[in-house]
Amino acid sequence: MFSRAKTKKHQFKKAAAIALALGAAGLAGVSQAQTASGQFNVNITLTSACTLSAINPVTFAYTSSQGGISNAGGGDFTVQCSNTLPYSFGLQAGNGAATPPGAGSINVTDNGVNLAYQLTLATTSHTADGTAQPYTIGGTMAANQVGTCALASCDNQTGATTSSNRVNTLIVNY
Amino acid sequence: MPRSTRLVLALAALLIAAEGAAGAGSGTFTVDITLANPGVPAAPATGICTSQSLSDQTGALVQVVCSTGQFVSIGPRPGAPFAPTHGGAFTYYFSPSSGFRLAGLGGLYPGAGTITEYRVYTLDEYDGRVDILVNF
Repeated sequence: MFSRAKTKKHQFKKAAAIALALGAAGLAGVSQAQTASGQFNVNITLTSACTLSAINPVTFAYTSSQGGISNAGGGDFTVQCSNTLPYSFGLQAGNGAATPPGAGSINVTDNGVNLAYQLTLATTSHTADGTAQPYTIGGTMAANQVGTCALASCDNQTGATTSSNRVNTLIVNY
Repeated sequence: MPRSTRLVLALAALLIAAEGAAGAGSGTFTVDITLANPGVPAAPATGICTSQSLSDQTGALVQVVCSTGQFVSIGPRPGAPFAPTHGGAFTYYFSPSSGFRLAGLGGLYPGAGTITEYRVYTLDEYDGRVDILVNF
């Protein structure tokens, strides 16, 4: 009987020793883990583009048969393009589909008040810096035009002198 | 120039052209023109007016309502006193085709002028009945 108890105690000690050995081995494994790393690329494709703001109307105030030319007001707009992107402007008479690149100046005779004018772009090309850049469409109306107006004053937006060709197009090429 | 050099230059030119045609955007704008015609005087607005029938009441306030445009205008002359009672001098305008006439003050005709008091009657009721008496 004494021998059986001794044998069980021996077996217990052996099992405990094995468990301790396995635990120590496990701890040793954690402290000795390896790291690995790798690099990766971030590939970006940027499609350059330009944004054209709304364009303020170009306005003329003209007196029939006036002696000097009339300079237009308004015509302000801004263009914002991808940084370093070169771009250019062009004008096109009418409001039809844009046909790039357009022209630096156009001549139009308003069919409402029957007055001829010329529109020009002081700046026709630029390299973008990423910010919105302001520009102006200039316009001149030659002197000594009589125009068409049965009243003391007419405009090309209302009444009998309403124009059907007062809309024109600005093209931004990039 | 060697043929190979010409070929390289041609390819470079094509690339530049391709860059220039990368994209395009467009916007429309209007050209607004105002044409003044100095030889033609400005025409006053015309329209049809009605008034309340209170002329038989002492101190009545008569309101003239114009449905379209302006038929009668009364305002102070520049530099002249304007008073809501007797003694003022005022400008007036009656449309020539209005169907109204002035009475009691000979020599006045439709059009622009100066007046201190007038009566208005319709041509359809030519019996002398006063439709409106305006005084200041």
